[in-house]
Amino acid sequence: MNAAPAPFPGGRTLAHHKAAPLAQPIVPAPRPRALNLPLHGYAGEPEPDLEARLQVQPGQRVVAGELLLAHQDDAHPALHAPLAGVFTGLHRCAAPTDPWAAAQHLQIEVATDAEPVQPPDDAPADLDLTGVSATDVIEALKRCGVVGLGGARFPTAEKVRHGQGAVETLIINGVGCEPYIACDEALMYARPRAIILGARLLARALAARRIVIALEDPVADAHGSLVTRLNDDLQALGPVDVEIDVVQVPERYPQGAERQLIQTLTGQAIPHHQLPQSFGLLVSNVATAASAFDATIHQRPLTHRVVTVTGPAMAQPMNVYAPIGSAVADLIELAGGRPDDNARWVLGGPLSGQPIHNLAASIDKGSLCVLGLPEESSSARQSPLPCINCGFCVSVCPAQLLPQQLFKLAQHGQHTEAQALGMMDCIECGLCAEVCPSHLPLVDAYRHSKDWLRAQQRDERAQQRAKRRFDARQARIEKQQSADQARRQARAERLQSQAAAQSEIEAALARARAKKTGPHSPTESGKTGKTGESGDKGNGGDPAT
Amino acid sequence: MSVTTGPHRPSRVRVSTVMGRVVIALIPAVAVHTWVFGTGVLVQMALAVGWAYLFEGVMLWARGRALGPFISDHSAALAGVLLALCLPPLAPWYVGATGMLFAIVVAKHLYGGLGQNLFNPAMVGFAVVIIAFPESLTHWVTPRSVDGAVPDMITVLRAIFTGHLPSGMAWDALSQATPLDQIRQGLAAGQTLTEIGQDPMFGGLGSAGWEWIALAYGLGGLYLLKTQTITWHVPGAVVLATVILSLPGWLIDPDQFRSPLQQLMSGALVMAAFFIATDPVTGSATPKGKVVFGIGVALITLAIRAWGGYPDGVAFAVLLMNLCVPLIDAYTRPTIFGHGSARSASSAAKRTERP
Amino acid sequence: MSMGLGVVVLVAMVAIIVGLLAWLGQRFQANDTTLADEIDALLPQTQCAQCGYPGCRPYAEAIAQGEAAINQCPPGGQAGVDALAHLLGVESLPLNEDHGEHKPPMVAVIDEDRCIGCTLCINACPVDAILGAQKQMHTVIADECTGCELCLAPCPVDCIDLIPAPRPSIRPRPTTDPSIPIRVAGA
Repeated sequence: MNAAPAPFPGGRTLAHHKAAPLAQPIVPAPRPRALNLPLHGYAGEPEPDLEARLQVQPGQRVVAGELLLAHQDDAHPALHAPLAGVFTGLHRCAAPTDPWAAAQHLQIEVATDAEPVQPPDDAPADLDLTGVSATDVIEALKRCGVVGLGGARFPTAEKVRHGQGAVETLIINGVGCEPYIACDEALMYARPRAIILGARLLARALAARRIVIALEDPVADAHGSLVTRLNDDLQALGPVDVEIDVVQVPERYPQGAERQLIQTLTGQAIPHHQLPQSFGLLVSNVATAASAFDATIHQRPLTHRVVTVTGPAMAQPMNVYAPIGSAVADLIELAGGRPDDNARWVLGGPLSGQPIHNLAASIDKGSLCVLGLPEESSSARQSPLPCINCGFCVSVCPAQLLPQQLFKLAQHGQHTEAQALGMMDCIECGLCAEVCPSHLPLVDAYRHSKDWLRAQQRDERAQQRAKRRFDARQARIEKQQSADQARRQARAERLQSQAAAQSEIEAALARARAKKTGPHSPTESGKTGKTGESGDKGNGGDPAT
Repeated sequence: MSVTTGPHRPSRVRVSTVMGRVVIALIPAVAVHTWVFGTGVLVQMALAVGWAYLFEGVMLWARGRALGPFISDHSAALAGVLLALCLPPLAPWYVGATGMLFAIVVAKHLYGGLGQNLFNPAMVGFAVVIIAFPESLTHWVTPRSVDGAVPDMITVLRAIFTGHLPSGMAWDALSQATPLDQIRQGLAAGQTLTEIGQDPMFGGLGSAGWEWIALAYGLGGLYLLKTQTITWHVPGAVVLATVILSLPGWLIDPDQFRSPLQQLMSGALVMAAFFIATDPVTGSATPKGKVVFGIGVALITLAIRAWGGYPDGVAFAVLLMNLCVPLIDAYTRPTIFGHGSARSASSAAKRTERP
Repeated sequence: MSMGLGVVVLVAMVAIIVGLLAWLGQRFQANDTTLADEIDALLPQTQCAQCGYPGCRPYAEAIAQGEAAINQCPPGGQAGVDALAHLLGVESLPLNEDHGEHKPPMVAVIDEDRCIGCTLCINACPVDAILGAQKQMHTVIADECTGCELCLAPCPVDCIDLIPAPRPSIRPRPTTDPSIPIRVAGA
């Protein structure tokens, strides 16, 4: 199956630059001195209930794979120690790509005798998955802190739970469409059976009937066809209860983006306000599938990932099996780069990646690639010119936006207007900046604008909540007041007649007498506030004492 | 370590590359122009480009902008070349100078410089000179294919720098009305197109000399399309709209209405289609908007040719459409991916099935 | 062309334009929200009563009836005043400092060691963002707190502090001016 029913709009075919890191097998990272595990939810917000979830005390020894941060709910995954050592506590250090934000990190002083973890072997061909239930898979995903390894870091357990029953086709995304990033291809060469079995486990958890493994196969000529290998492994693994297809998609950036891939495979553009689940589809990265396999079958927590360390600034581009929390600088040195070079260090690919502001910062579960591009000489890198409205960005934009207009609005702070023109539909693929003849920093402007809009939306939601709570409180107070008023009025009316007043007084006296004769005699509840309160006090006591 | 914003891999196609490609694409037209009308156009070009850089430099200095990056973007040169191609080859030097003054100083820099101008600078310059110097603008050299000769270099230089021809030469002998002018005057005098068309000045395709220049513009345009400097939308819309709009009239009454071919091959319509209306800064940025822009240019040009006060209306058509660009852009935004009408949910999963 | 034709053309054009404007006017007619609703939507909903009214809604109604000036809302700041002026089509005014200064968003935090559980702050909170009971330690629901400061005055032991509200980080606007290179110190 080779055809694309209706390719996504825009996009561009780019040179892949992937052969060099794929020339050698995945390299295990040597033992680092320390690891700094970044703490942030998948959307970048701070971890909630940090103290309650922390499973270790500062100064405590931890073994490799030990739980550091407990899974709280499906949105906040667990975090484990990648290597043995001593947990030294929470440290606030700079995030790699945002010089203005300092993130909390869990720091581990790695033990001197800790063995570097080798990349796991591929799954055996004769593994039997019968007896593994959907609940087993989801529990394992939770326990082992599995998240989307394609970059989004969305907790996989939550994704699967949301898709349960609704998903007919599970798409396993091996389309590493961005130049230089080769971690997905490296994994597909190294562990094809683990990916297939992991996909089957995810499909089982989802009750999906079909699996489509999509990939580009960019280096098929040099390193052998991945499509053939995966198909051979499918044969070797024998007949299964789900239908599995391996689909080669055309090389076109950003083919690996979720909605663009769905468009290519199915011809369906997922509406912006809906999730693929609504269309019976779910997309998961190949590395996530392999992780799901490790978690379910081997109970292995997600503590390492394959990171491509590459680019012209590296002497030996490679795929590194790196513990989460490794410093970027260590990875660069491992690949033969010099961190003090005047290079352009990028976390992620050359298009969608972000400049690294601090090489001491560490990688997280969503880091795909550390890229070193030689900084052009100052004459080659000219200043950005004004936009000339050439429309190159319009023709490549996969979201069918007008990037040049969005850029102008973002730069002038007109974020609300930019939102009306679809700013939030931008997927930050970076193609507009790649083709811009004026060398404008379009994506950086969008990131600024989108952050601003998200903050604004958050404020607006808070305002609406405050308004609702204020209105509810006002309504409650009013209701109470009018009830009080009504009671007073009824009472006053009752006391109008002499006889009623007399009987009221007598009733009160009778109550007082009854109380004097026996403190434990049943009192009529509610009528006399004072007795009620003193009774409460006697029963409950003062918690403060 | 210095931290810079994106793009991480800046495009090798720069603004100067884009402008440079347009200038390169004009080479065939300039060559044919020189062959048809003599070396006048080369002198006009040299003068106009010189003025362009002079005004550009002065304005950049006056506005306190960096000279280097902006002077090297080739946009001033392009405006100069385009204006020179519109001027009669023997027009006096001050015509070009005035045109460039309005093109660069008023139309470009007073609106904020590169990328900010609302109106096409070359067309502003040309519109100013046809209004300011109507007399000079009518002295078009008779094409080589009509009288077998073009003015020599001395005649050209004298005419341009002194405004007079060498003694013993008369404007009437050297120049004639353009075919478009001839048709306008002929129709006004009550002649039919068949009668007017007897004149050799109408050549094989509707306009002797001019037709070859138009074809050369088309050739350059193909280069721009090939290098993806422009998209097909504007030239396609201009050419198709011209044909479609002029076809019915010509079929009904070829004595009163010109043929589509003659419309295209005379005047500056093909030049506008590939080189003027495709100016990114002053044109629409959306694919649909470009089509609307092109149709508008063709429509207004044909209207001015038929009923206007000028023989050709390309400059005014482009300027009028420049005015409409914000409106066009607002109404022709592409549908954002994922915002279109959704197809049925159930069918999506099935379509991944093996064919 | 005759004079008559010219007149006909002119009249037709005027008629078309008038018709178009009338149609557009109908199509984009304001929906049935009241002026007070629209004003309320622009107010920051801190419910702090610094304007002299018991909450944002009462202040909005007062503005709608012309009883209050538009510059009495310190949390909204000058931007809020400008937005109100734009909505009402009046000249903007400088923020009236008599009602308080504009401050960045804050949240209240109760020092739990000092709280005596008097419930006075609970009664003062306009958005029910304080939890607690008689003689029980109180705490602020940080997500719901608007930073209105109304709980500060009633507290008999002065155990409530206002701290800047945590803000999500907004990545900076890129510069297109090459003369300002970004350099990170120590890197």
